[in-house]
Amino acid sequence: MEDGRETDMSIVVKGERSYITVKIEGEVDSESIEGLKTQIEKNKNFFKEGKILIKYVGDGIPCKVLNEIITVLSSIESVNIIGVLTESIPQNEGNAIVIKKTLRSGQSVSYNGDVVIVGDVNAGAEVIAEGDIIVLGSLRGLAHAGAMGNRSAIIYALDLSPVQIRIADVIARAPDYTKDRSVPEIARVKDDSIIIETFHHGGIR
Amino acid sequence: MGKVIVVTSGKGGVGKTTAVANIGTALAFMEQKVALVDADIGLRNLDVVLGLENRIVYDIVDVVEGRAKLKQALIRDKRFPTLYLLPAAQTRDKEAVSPEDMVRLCNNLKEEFDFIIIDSPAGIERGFKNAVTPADMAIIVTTPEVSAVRDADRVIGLLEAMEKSDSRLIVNRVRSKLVDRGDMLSVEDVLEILSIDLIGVIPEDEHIIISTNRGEPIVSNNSTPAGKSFMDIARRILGEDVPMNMYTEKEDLFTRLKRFLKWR
Repeated sequence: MEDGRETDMSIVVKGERSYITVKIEGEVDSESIEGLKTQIEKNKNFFKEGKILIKYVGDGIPCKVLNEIITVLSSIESVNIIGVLTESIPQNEGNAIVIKKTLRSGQSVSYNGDVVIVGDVNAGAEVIAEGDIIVLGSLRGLAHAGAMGNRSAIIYALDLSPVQIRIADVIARAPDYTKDRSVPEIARVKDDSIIIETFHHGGIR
Repeated sequence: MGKVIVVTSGKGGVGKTTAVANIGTALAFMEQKVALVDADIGLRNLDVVLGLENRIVYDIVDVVEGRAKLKQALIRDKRFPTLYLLPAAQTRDKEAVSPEDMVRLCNNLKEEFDFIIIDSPAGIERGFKNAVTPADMAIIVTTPEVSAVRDADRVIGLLEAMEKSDSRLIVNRVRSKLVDRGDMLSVEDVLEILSIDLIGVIPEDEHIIISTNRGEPIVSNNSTPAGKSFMDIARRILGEDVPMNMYTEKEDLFTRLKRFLKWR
């Protein structure tokens, strides 16, 4: 039963010895899910009573997308989804890690969601997040938010004085003058460059 | 049972060896039995700063490899009868000793001495691990320079990862005039970054150069600013509550008068 067939750039269905794998790679959009649906419609007998293993290559699949795929697959008659394989934890919206210590030079945190640091991020330390970065302290090290390309990610710090910040594919370095006061600030992308604004009471976004 | 203190910094040349020699001498002055251990194998210095170079027969590697007994290798300082030095080997490298060897060695020393002070090499590799592993307390030496502070931060992070929680800071070579002008990091700036407890501030003092070259620890001359500061650190190690003092060179009447008039 080796009849691999490609329906889409990102979802590949392949028959193995005793089960069928649905391999998902990269970004999954509604179009590729539709593609999967039509493929199932066309080959009802191939899928019928099959055992299905969902495999995700890459990191941080959003839970919403994964749920959609599972729903589509479980609509097949007498299908049995035997498992979901992912390289990293599926990313839920609001998925965040909280670190309650100061990150010192040489220490690094990377996470496929938001990162909240209760402490400082010292020069020489780095924080890489697929989502937002929130530092309840001084940010002096390197911060890279939206590391997988999410330009809407933000970086927030009570004292934002990093050597360099990155949001998605946009990089900004610190100005040459030093700030004389430290107020909470937010960095975000606007028109292909990173802008820094003073945080005003009433919410981050 | 004695206490093992490691003096470390990450960056080289910030004053680790000077601090070890002077804190050790100051503690011996206060009638504590002190063993100084030079863990900088291959680049030994502590013996020179203490003026004991010509008395080395056996070293730390001889002890670890069983060629000499610990008692044979320890050099007693004649000026301060409760001060001893275990010198490093000059012809070997850091790999000659393992962290486990150091723990065993310090456990033996703990039975005899009140304080064991280890002079760590610069860097964060094997030599650093050797020096830090047996320690009950760490003293991190930094100068008010961005690069030294960065390295100190790295070392504190490594110590935290090794679950060594008792870390204190010495800010060495502070020049008040530069700090006042805003041309040097202040002690407060350094503390803000490193956020650990301060155990002492040492002013820049040219007497240090003279004392190091002569092989006489500066605390034996208690009138110098650096000597006084090291004495204070030793008292703090003994648990005394000594206020942080920034000692300056004694001024003669004329300069004092001039300063007074300017101030008015």
